[in-house]
Amino acid sequence: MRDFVLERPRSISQALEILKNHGEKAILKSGGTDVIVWLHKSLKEPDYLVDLTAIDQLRGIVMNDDNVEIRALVTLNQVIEDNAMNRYFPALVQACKAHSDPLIRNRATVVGNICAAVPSGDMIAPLMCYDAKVEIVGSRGIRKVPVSDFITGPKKTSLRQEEIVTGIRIAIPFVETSGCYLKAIRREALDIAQAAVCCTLHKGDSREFRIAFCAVSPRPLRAVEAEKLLNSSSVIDDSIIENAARLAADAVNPITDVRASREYRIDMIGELTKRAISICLRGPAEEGGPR
Amino acid sequence: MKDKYVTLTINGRKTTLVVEDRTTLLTALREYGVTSLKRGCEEGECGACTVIMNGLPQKSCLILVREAEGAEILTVEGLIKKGRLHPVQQAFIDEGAIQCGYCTPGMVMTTYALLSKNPSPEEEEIREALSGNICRCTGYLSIIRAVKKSADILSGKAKGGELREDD
Amino acid sequence: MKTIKTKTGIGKWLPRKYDLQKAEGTLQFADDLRFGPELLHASVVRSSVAHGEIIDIDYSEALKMPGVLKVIVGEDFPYHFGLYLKDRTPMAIGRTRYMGEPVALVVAETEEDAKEAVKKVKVTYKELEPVFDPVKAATTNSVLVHPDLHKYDHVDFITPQPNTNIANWFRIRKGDTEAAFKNAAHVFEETITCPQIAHGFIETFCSICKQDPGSGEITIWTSAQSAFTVRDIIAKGINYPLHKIRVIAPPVGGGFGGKAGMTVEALCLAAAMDEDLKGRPVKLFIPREEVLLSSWVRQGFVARIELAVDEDGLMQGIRNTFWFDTGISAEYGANPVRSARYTSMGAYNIPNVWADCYAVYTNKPFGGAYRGFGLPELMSALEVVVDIVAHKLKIDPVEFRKKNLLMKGQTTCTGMPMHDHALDKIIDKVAKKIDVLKEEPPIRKGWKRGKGIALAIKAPAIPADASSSAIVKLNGDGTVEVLAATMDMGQGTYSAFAQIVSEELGIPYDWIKVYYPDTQSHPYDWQTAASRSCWSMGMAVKRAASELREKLLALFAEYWQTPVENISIEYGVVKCHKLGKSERIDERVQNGFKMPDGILKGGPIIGTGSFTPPDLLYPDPDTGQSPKSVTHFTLGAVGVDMEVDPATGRIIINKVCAGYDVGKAITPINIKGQIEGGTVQGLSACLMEGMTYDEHGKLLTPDFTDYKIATIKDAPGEIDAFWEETPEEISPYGNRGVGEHSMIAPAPATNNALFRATGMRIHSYPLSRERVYKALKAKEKGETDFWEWPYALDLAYERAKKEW
Repeated sequence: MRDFVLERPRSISQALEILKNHGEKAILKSGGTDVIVWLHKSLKEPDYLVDLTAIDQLRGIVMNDDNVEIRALVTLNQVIEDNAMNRYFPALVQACKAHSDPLIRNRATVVGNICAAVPSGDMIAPLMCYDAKVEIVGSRGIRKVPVSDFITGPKKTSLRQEEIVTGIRIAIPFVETSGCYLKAIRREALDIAQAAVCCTLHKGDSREFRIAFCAVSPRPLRAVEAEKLLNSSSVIDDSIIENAARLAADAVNPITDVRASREYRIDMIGELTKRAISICLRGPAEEGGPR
Repeated sequence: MKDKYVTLTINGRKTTLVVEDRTTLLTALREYGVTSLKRGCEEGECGACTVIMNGLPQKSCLILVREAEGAEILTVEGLIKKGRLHPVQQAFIDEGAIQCGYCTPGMVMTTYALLSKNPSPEEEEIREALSGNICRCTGYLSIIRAVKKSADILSGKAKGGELREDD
Repeated sequence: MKTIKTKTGIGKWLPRKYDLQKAEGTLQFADDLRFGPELLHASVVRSSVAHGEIIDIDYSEALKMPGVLKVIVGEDFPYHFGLYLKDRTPMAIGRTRYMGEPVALVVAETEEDAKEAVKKVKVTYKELEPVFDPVKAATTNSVLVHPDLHKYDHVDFITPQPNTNIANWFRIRKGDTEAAFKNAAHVFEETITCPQIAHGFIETFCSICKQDPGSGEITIWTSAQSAFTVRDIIAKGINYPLHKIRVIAPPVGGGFGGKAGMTVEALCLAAAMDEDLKGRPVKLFIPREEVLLSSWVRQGFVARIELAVDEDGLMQGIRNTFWFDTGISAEYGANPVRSARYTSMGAYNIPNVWADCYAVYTNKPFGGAYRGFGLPELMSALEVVVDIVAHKLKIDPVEFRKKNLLMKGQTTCTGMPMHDHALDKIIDKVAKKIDVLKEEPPIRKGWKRGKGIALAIKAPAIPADASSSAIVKLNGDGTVEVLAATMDMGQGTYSAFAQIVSEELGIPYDWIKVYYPDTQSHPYDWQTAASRSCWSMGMAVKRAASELREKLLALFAEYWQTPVENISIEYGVVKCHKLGKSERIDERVQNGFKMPDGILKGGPIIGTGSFTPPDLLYPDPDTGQSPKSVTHFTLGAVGVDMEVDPATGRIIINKVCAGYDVGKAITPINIKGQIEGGTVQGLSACLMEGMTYDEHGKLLTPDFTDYKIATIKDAPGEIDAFWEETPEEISPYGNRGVGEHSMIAPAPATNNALFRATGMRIHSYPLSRERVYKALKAKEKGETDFWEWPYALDLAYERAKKEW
């Protein structure tokens, strides 16, 4: 690992100051479970590494009247153990459980996963379904960007130099809700997704399905056509589910690599979508699918 | 260049280490002399470097040592009290859950953390908790037996130091 | 009256030696040793092309980096090394043969300094056409990986074919195969393939080398299974006297054959022997992502098997061809090829055998020893083919195997008679324990469940002169130290040796210490390999302990003036019941007994023992026939109960039952451990493992991010491990090896179970989720067999297959 200067700001303003001074020579880290691996493999060789883990302002899951704020240092295990997260955002909790392993989840953060912006990031699809906004602070103030706009390509985000992500904000669904995250991997644990499907169902006055994917497109992707079909059907039977799954599979554009072929990924999207819809219809999270 | 200082508590002993910015917690602890942590992969895939940091089991290869400023670190060396093994260590011996021993310190620490939180885990919970610690020798079933026995010793249901015999 | 009494002899369940230190975390592996600030660190510059001439290595920028002392290239250390065939140099010289091959070594004050400087070394290549497919490499020889093959030294039991890519061609010609096939009622032909796979030990490679500048004496601390073999290979490679090389082998964090022979020691030595550096210890730690590029892996293979079966369902002939993908070096890999051939008949009585086994060079990292040593490869193929034949003949797979079983007195493919064994009984037990013939509903909704069985067989493929020796020393307080240069890398041999010593000496297990190998103190042992240690070294330890006992009892006999037969050692105390004497062992065993005549006799009591297989004869090179080609076979059977989710290809193993005829269980805790561990390692290989390359030969699975091995969640719900004890004739206690055997049959048993579950035969390992899914899709289109080769684009294989 090439040496660098580690900056450990104590406040957001200190962090911004450091970023301003170092420009593109600096990269950010929160939990570090991606960044330290990149450094170890020399995939990144920054002069400055700005570690946000000493900034107390970035800790905590904050419940507001109509939204919840997952701040930048919130780890996946903190989400998993949080009652409100389990109640309102079951799909996000499942995605956290499907991510890596229980040890890494003590360090890996939800925000870090979004900022790494790898197409296989497990947090992306649930945050797409929950329509999360990424909250960014920079020298020019605060801006809020939907996750779909935040990630602009593999390992690319719309985060500017001299900006940091302070958290993610999600509106609380005040209706009955169910959701799940199903992930295809190469063994029973600790793997990067070959493909994954997130599905949420809000059962308010009008039933609303949302479906998003993982590892099958360069940018975050919602299954718009499949959602349309589901949300416009008064009764959801097996044939509707089959059709929705087919629409979902049609929507993705995965690559072939050592983890899986494009064809397998597409077929898994279809299969997992089918399962995810059924699970959501059955109600609270249930075991099913590869994970 | 080693020109940074980190003060942390390692197995109950407060100490200051001289480190580089890039030094991982794994490297720093090994240089300090805590060699129970192993360099199995240095990218979070094997768990041979598992420590308990501020009460949570973590992979020390994925942490920069300067992040551990002020932290309490517990490793397998720190489980031994007055020369006596911790029940988890004893149960691993009793159940034949150790072969080459390279993954053992990490396995023991993850087990210790699991049982601190969940004193009588189901088999499925054991498998989930240990899913980030790779063992190539044992085939894992003896490890599962050892975790169950650890729980039994800790709750007074079993005695350490007795081997399980087949037939 | 028995001479000794002990509660801790062979067959007892006891806590394993060194488990305490392992649980405490205090056991020091090679990477844990400390050498102070004098220690230098080396890091490897690796080839970025699979096959190319090295035009230039420019390391001027690297030398300017902080802490860098020296950059060493292949020409600086131009020695050839190898166990059976000297075909490898620690660094490429003039030509690089695989992507990732060492081309230079940077030596610096710190590991990070060395690693950073590696990035600054610029190497210019003229690229040459590579060859990756073993069948293409062997049949076309259009690209020669080793044009100098004819110049390499090799042992006389391997047969390299100059001007080809064939590093070893081993053949069996027994009986009249042609007639057997002509007269057969049924003839079958099948192919099976498997990629290279990796050991996946958690400890990577680590060596520290130091040369004393004045005397030239070399000390090597290394993560090696076989300290003496490291010493031999290095001495022969650099033409150096043995007594000037000391190899110290600290505990090894998993070996599985991957640390047998010499691995990275010579590369590290290139730095330690450098004129400018010598005197300072140099450490070479291989990080995980370079492990598969630094030493051998299990060879990939393409197997074609033909079986001739008569109208009674008896196998009359077998013709098989195995192309082993040995990568760029067969220095060790030449021998698994031989090992597999010794057992070309599997566990069956087949009178007519025609077998060809090739180790084929390709431009990939090299193949060599891995748990099972050719037999998981052979049996992954043969046991599937046998299952196919049973199915096609409509005979149940258990019955078909049993009626063709190779029983006592029948001859193996090399013409030697099979010894007594209990495989028939084991098959019955396995079949019963998982109810292999009974179809049961799947546990999981929508899944398909199946059960399968496969047999295991393996003999140690050791050279005929592979020997062991041991020293047992009695201390002045009755405790005992054992010097036996076997590496206990987790298999538990030190526990076995201590139990053997306890059995022979009547001294409690806890009083017995067995030390890790050091060629300076320990007597010679060939290798920790071939599941031979409890048998070969066990023999040496038993003999050494017996000699010690005889010496001790003779002294007490004179001391007490009573015949030696009246004296016994009981739980560490020497007794003569007739005279009512009972004395502890004390300083007298060091400084002598004052005999009744007043004269001191005795002095330090040491027992020594050695063992060389007494009757092995190398097979005839043209026919493979020999009256005793191997010492003995360990046989066993594995049953697998599994289910598959057809919609994803995911397989879950419900239960495995595995039984072996171990002859005699010396340390039951270890046998159980070896069976459970090897079973999961075999299942892991079967379900998810394989080294994958891109079309340029770049390894796409270099580390645990993409080379996946079983986690605790992948382990089966249950493993029912058991053993039978049919004693072996030439053996310390009738025991046979079992360490490797547990890895042989889980893969074919799982493959056979998958067929029972789905009706689909997959001919290519691994049975990854994606492959199983694809195969089941193909089944929907009416296919019954599925086959994929990693070089799908390389149609040469298809052509070559037709040309066979």
